[in-house]
Amino acid sequence: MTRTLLAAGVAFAAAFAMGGLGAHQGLAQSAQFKGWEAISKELSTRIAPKDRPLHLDQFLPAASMDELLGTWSTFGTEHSFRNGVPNALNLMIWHVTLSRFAHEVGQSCTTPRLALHPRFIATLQRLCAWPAAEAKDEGVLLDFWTSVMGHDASVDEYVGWRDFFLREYRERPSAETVAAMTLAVTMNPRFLLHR
Amino acid sequence: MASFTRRGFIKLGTLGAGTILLPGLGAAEVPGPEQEPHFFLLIVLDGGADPSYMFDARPLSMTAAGKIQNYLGEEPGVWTGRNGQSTLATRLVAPLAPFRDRFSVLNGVYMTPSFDGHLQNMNFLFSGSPFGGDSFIPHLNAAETGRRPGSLDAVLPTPPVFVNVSNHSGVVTLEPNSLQQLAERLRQAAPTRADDRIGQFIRSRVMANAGGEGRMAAGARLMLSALDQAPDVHRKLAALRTPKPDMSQEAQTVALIAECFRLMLSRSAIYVLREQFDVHDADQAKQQPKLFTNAVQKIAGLFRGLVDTPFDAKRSMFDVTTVMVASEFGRTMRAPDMHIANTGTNHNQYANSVLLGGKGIRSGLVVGASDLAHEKARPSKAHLAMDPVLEKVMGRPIDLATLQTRSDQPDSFDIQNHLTISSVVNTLYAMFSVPRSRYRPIGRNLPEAPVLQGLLT
Repeated sequence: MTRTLLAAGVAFAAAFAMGGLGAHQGLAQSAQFKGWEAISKELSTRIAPKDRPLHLDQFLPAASMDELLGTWSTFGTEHSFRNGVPNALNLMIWHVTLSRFAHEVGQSCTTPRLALHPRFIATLQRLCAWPAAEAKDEGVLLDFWTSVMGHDASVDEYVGWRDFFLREYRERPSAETVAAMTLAVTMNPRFLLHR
Repeated sequence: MASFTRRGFIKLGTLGAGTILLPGLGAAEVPGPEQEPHFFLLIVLDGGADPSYMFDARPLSMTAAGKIQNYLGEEPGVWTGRNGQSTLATRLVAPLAPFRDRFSVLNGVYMTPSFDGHLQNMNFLFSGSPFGGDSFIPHLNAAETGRRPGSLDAVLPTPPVFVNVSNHSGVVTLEPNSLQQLAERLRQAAPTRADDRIGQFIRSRVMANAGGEGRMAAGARLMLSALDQAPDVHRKLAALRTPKPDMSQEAQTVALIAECFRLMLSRSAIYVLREQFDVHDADQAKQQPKLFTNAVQKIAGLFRGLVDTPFDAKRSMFDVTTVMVASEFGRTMRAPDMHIANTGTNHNQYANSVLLGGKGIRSGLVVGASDLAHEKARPSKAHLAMDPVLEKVMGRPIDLATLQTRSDQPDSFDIQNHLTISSVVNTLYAMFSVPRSRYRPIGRNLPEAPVLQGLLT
């Protein structure tokens, strides 16, 4: 894991050094955020019952902020996706929003806070036994990961996530761990960015 | 002007001073002003505003001769610059008269000569290419200028302008009406942190995805950059105060811009006027006196706000901000086959007007001019080649070294003899110490567009 991160860091630094790639360059070829509607719908489909969709809006720090997180706009016959390029403001809003959402998922270990569909509830209940051994079962962790991330990420991403929590949150309480796990999945580029 | 009272802006200044007194935000956390603060405000007249309703007017005799529409129906007055050059201006610019020594008028400015579409010319204004590309706005905030970059390249406190640019990731919409709630929530929430376990892990995964080639890697690199700047933006937004809602929307917007500059949240701001100046239809064109009345009042209000809002003990916001007012192009004198009393106007990329003022600008000047100044004026052969039906006024040749309009009537068109938006942007680049490698050419396979040295203080 450490070696992988180190290698990624070196490759990243090399990319900057060789290509002079700054945050302002090559945006046309950059993945953008999937956008508020897409992320809300994905999360709702994955964890909420069909008849009670997840309203992610409740976790936004302020009204109208969803427009800053990637939305479609129309000008005549032109349709463009706006505010989807990651910047310090939209990323900060994503972080605040998803932190609040993750907190509610974590708190659901003790008191149901969100309308969740039965399969996700079953996964969550098993995970909420953390730090007990049964919560650290490969099947439980993979179920939770897939439930939130879907199939957008590589196995390496899952392995990195799993190993981090088994190591760093080994003895932490369940609510804190589940919240952190949720935040780590939802702040992953594979979850937020459109391929 | 009622919405931009001196009291309102003194109130705003007081609010600004209050930001450094917020509990939990010590002096070290709120950035102090730079030694040489310099900001940029771009005010956009969206849709292609007709300069003949402001600082490039025509006499009524020209309307009587059927050459140019005029729904104001009043003889324009003479507006003379400190450089001795004059232009005609309508009474609609009267609210700007108190600031006449704070800005210069640039007339006859060429946009992209080959295209007359909104998008191509707005792209040209921002990027120097009708097809879009890198916008000049982020260049003003780049570290290569030698200044500490603002957290964001620009804030956009109004609905956005439609433009295809590839580097506006740091140009963010931030409207006053949603800001109060956001600031309050952010004061309660902890900023993202890279020094706790989960913060380190999130950053490590973004970094892992940022290596290598491909769109995902490029997006992850942007995320990484954003992640590193996010705590700073969080703290600054939490420290930001907007004035009470009893102030007008425009006054709140000035307040927001001033706060963003003062906190070094952003280097620039883009203010898009809500008035729609694209008046092809006669009924729309007849609304121009009202449209310009509203627009000029807002521009004057923004100027007043910047003048009355202190940046520090010695300087106003206007003193530290370069202000530019521009549209994507001007308009034709009339539409073909319509009566002069009942005509709309089309797009004219050959003669735009730009106002430049504030920090770094020699103000009070009139620079450049468009041709066909009266009904008996004869077009040059160059004009006839470009506009055979004489629908458009065109920028006259100019000596870019002295900024004096030339009197010759060229036989063929050469963009190098004219005042172009590329020269205007390069002049901004010179003021902001943007490296020469960024400077725009006059046109394809042509040399660098000259900096308007005579406009620099």
